[in-house]
Amino acid sequence: MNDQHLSPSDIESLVDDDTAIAAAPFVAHVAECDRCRTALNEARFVAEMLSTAPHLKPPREFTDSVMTHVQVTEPWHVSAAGLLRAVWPDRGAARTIMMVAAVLAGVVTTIGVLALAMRSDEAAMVGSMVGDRWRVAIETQASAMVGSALGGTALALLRENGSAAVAVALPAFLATAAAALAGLRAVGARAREHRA
Amino acid sequence: MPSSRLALENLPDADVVALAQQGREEAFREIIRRYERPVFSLVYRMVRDREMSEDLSQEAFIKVLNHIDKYRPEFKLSSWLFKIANNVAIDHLRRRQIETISIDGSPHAASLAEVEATSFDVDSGGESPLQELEARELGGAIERAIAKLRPEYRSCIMLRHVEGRSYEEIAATLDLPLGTVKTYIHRARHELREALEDLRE
Repeated sequence: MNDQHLSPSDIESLVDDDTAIAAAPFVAHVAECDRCRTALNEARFVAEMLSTAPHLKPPREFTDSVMTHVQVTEPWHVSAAGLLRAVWPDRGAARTIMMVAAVLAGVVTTIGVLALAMRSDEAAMVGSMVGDRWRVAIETQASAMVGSALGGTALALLRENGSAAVAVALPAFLATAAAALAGLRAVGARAREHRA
Repeated sequence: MPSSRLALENLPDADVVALAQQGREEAFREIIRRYERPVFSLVYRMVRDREMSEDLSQEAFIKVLNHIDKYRPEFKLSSWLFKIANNVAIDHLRRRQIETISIDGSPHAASLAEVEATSFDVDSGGESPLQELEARELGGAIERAIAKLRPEYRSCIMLRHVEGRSYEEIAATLDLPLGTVKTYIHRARHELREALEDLRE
């Protein structure tokens, strides 16, 4: 080490930290070498000058101008907690009543949920019945609509041929409806022109 | 001074951020109060234009504060702010580079010829906001020397010596490899040493 001078990189590493174990041979060299000591002092001078560079002050109204563009929003759980705190009495009988009411509400809800869970097969059956009724009602309404729009023969064909017929009839129905709508619009436009 | 402000002043960054995430406006203001000077200083030393620095610093704060709910506590708030501020300043410099000519050469220049080809001239008139600093000879000299550095050197050297960040923190903040950060800082100090040689003597 003493035969050759420190590289710029070695000097920089000494500026950063001359107490590191790896820096010991460099420190020893600098103590004996005038040229490297000068280079190290120059590097330290720059680092010291940089550390004295002050923070610059933004204008006084900086915070307000930033805040006009910042959306301060309260998350729902914070709002809910705040609301609860606001309505929750601090002390006295009201607080006791609120606590008893809250415990009762909790107990009733828990019992209700447990009861439903224990009768889950009954709930499933009721659900299935309601579903069937809705399906039948929707089918009846749809048949009535198709029957009135396309006629009884088309409805019978649809029932006989199932999904294949739906695949043919639905686009035909939509195309007919679109053509009818366009025709009505054209008639309306012509009538407006005529009035004008 | 309101007591809530006093209470906020004593809280660590993570707690102030938590309050901001709960929608407390005074917490947002406290974050700005803590970091407006470091952020403004970094941006100003990058772009050398006071009005533009105000706009860019404002943009950096707005970006951070409007996404405060996405803040990850394992990352330092100041690093996040410096990262955004640096990106905003670099983006501005790139735009200006396209609009006019560069001062210090493109950060992507791979050779000296490319650096020279993409260089732009420093507008000395734009330094008037530094009058206060330049009144002090040393301060003025270092500011002028910093202005002559390439922008990516500037942000590294500012974070290292003005903000006192470690190399690892700078690498994480600027999304640069550790080795690149060391190289930039060493080269920047070397260039500054040459620029300030007369002053030493």
